[in-house]
Amino acid sequence: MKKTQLKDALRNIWKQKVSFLSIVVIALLGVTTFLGIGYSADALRKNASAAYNQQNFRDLEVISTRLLTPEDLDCMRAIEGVADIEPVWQTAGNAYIGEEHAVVTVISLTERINRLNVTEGRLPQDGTECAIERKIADETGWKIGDQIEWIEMTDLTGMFYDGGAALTITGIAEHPDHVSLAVPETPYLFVRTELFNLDEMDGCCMKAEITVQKAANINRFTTHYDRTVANFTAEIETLSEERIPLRDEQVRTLYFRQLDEAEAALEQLTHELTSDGEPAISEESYAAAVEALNEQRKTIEELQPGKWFVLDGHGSPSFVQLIIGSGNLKSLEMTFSLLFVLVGALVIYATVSKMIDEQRTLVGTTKALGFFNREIFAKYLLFGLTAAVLGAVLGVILARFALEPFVLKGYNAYYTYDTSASTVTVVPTLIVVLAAALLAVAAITFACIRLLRTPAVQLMQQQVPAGKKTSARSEKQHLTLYSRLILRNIRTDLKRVLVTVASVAGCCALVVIGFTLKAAVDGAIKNQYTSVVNYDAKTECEFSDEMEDFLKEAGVEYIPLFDRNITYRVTDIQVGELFCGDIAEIQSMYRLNDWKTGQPIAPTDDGVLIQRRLAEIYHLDVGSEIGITVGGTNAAMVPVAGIYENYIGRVMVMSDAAYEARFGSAPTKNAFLLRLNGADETELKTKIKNVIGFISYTPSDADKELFRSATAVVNAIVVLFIVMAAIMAGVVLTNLTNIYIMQKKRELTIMRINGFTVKEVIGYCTRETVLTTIAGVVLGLALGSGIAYRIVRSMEQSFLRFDRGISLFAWLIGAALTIVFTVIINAVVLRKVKKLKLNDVAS
Amino acid sequence: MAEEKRFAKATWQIMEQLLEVDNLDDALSGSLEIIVNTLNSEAGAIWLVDPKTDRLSPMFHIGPADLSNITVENGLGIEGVVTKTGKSIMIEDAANDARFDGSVFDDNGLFTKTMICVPLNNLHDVIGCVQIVNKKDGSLYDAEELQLCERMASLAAITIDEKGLTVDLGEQKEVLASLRNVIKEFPSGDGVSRVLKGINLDIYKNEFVVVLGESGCGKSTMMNIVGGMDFLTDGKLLVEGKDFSHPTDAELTQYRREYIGFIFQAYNLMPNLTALENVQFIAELVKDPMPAEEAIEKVGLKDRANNYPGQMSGGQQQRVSIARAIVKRPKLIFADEPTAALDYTTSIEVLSVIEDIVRNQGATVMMVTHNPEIAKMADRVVKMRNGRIASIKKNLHPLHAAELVW
Repeated sequence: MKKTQLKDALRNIWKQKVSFLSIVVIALLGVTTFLGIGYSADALRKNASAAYNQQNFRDLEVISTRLLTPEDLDCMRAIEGVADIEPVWQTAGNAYIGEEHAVVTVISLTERINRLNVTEGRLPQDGTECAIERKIADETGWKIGDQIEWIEMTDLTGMFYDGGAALTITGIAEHPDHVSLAVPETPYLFVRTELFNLDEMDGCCMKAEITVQKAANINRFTTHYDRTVANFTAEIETLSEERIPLRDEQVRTLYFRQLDEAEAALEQLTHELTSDGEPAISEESYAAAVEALNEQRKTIEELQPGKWFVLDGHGSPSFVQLIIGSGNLKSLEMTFSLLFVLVGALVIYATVSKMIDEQRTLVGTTKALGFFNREIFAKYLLFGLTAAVLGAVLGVILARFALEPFVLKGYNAYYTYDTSASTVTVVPTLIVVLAAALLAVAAITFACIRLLRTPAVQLMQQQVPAGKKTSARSEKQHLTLYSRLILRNIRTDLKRVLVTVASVAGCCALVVIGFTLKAAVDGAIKNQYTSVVNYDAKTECEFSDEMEDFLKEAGVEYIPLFDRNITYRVTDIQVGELFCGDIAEIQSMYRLNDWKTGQPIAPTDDGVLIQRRLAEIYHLDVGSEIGITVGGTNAAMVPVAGIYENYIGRVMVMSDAAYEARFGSAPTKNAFLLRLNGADETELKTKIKNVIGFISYTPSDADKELFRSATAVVNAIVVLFIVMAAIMAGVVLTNLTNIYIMQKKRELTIMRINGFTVKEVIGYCTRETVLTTIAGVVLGLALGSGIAYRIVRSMEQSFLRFDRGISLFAWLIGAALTIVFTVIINAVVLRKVKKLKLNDVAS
Repeated sequence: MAEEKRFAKATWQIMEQLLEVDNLDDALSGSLEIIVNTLNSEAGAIWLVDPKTDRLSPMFHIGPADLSNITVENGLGIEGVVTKTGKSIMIEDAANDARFDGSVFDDNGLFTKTMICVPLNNLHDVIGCVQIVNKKDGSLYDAEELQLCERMASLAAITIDEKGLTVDLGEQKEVLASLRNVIKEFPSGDGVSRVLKGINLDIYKNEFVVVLGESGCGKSTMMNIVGGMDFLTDGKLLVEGKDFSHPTDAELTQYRREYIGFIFQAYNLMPNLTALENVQFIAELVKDPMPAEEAIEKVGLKDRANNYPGQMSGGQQQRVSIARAIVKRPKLIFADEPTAALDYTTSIEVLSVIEDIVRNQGATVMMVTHNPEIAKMADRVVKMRNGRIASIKKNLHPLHAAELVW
């Protein structure tokens, strides 16, 4: 471009600054949201990965159904490329200080792998000390220096725990297993290894944590990492085939030895006499006992082979939650890119083509003066391209320094690690800036192409208004002259009108999306607690008459329940909860309505009732089978017997009979669902704690917590969207209205000359605005609801379903805000009508 | 009888022309027009002898052939013989007349069928001849018609004698551009409409040609073709010997860039550039432009060089537009109604600048206008009618812009 040409092109930008700005802003909005959300998703993962690496989080975890022997560990350590391996001992229990208790996993400290992040105090240094996770402290209010009086073991492995003594809390620490606070996992209570009785276990451990050399310092959320680790998963699984039979034999031998010893002891008893002189054991009893032992022997002989579970990152619910969380952000990012590519391209196209139309004669002149098309095109390209690229670059800056920190800060409350370190991912940034540039080039080319092809002579002639020739008759005669004129205006200037409609629609859609998301989240909570959950609380307890009597006396309605945490596997392992009991009874407190018909599902013993989200995610239907593992070891394949409507939670429901049929034993009831029927909850809570066997009392709406992160994100999004809608309206619509006035300047001036009042002229202009606004709002409502639906669906998780319906409230707000924006902009821009110079027409 | 009346009327009209019009050039060309019309002829010319060279050249001619640059030696050819001998010649039927061995019309695209050539006799000598060619209805000239011509010639001669006529037809000029049988058709409705119906015209270096004509006569179309803004349908356009009849779009742009300057009615300046920058804008396009400051100075706008178009009057803007046209030293400058939007005084200002660039700076200007008064300052006046060239007149004494009155 020659010097003066450049000067002209630059001054053109200055003169058309509103148009230029509108392109800058639309590019800025698009790039900011797209990259801001993208960066946040990347930062979330990158920071998580950094935190994991900093704590040297295991790459693999091996769990065996029959413990892991030191030899197993040695064999794994011997695998080439394994960097380190450490054994872990753990068990489950309830820790007590006075009457306050916490459900915990007691876990041994490791030295190198899964290092703890100590946030307060220090790690335990001997067998009288322990550290707890923040979650325990938050739930119970326990603090450093408090003494945990005793731990009630709730798992078989509890027999290997020696810590009968009280434990002083010395610190609060975070374990990399639990980086995500939104995942309901049992928190850890850390103790020193010596509190586990290793002799009793022959040195065996519950888990082995492994790190892999090549995986060190790789971002854990990349396929590169996955591939690196996958090789080792395969090798360890191969190794397990060799190791399991050996261990099985060892266990069998051990059991047989124990049985032999038991039999010998019995034998011994037959020779002993009690103080009464009677034999210590009767012949019959002895025979029965021996029979029982033989029975046991037989069982042990037929013992199913053990199994190793080799878990990679995806075996950690927190890790999976991070993948889902950042994935949700990514899917938002995609939705936005669509919206902004559409609106952005239209805005650039309209702006440039309107500008070229205005400068039609100039283009013709420069053409006549011997400029090549490319030289003329360069001016407009410079206009659109600099605007788009400037917008994109500002967008990158804003994304990095405003939106990303804002989003990440919002996430900080839901993760134990510091999420706030921002990041810029170079490749997507370059792609986005390049895409913005390409989009601009395409839109500008499209806008210029016809004009560039038109010969100079035609361009310098008065433009013949576009539009088809139609006889006056074809136009609706009953319309007033005004209305007909406006319709004709719209027809001859369809391009600008369409872009105005698109911009109004975009603006309206943003507001609708924001409020629909809010309604989706709020609606899910509301629906869950009005149409699904019909109990007030759940109490976990050891089943006893005493508890039932207490409940009866308190005037509380209750139903007994088997309620256990389970893992289930369809394609991957997920954590869930299983209710067993009388289905009809359960339905009275926890409605199980068919997801399709909405009718209560008839009680069935055929299998498990699953919630709708599960069916949707894994494409399950009645008759599909899922693998369910109860209590860590008791696994069975269970067919789906029904799918029920549900919004929050991970509950599956089975009838007692169905459970027994699948898992071989009747489910032991361990909880009650309660409906208070007006009973005083505070009083009940205090009293119930004193009932023998009481374990916990949970209000039914505790699940609302699951929504905390979703609600926070959604509220932020609503604000963000309204701001964006306002900016978009402010700049883009102002630009378009300006274009309209500029274009109609002559016409409007002539109207003024002919005696129309300013008010009438403004009225004439606003009639079109009314039409475009209505059309834009209608389109925006549809578009907004459509996009919101997409976002809602992509944010849903296996345990969360949102209200996916159209939100009338969102529609109302969307329409109202859009109209307010339009009115304000028109009021500002149409002031120009007052300033029209009536003598301009002559020149 | 009817014919006699027509002839008598024509004679009166000629007398009126010759006696009442104060400009002799116009009087002569007007008279020829009357004869050509009355005798329903295809073409006609008034030839004058340049005493310095003793050669004849057409001072005014009517019809499709452009004879402007043709000179004939006194005594040779029909025109020469008539002028030399002072005797009329009528070739009734060219095909069967031994005396006829072709004419300048034949060489310029008009096949002579019948012809009258009468001398312009001064009291002392023959100063030229009047020639008419071919009747539109295909019939042949007769004695009565010859008589009418002779009558006109003698009236003209008397007038010339009375008013005095210095014949200085100048040197033969170098052709810059020539149009040969140029046809331009536009699609119209189902068929095509032919806007240019065979134009023959030469444009000479350093001349000022004015094209006159009614709206829709094709003058703008012709200018667009020579100006490289439009393609011709058929025929030839030669510029400095190069054929530009069927160029590509890019060649056409290149052509405009190197050869042509434009002055538009609506100025069409770049609103974002100052006067000087508007000129620089164009100067940068070519290899050897005039310094922009110089161009601005030539149009007398040195003081306003840094003003934006919006800050200048119409006349000033038009002068910038002239500076813009001359800055690239184009071969040919086209001016399309450059004064149409200006008042009288401003128009004269602008025309003076144009006159200056032609007379003193060697530019070639072709101007399209409605205003016949402006034609008086041209070297040649081309009249167009209905897609054809109706006549071409050489102004023997072009006026200065300042002398124009309307």
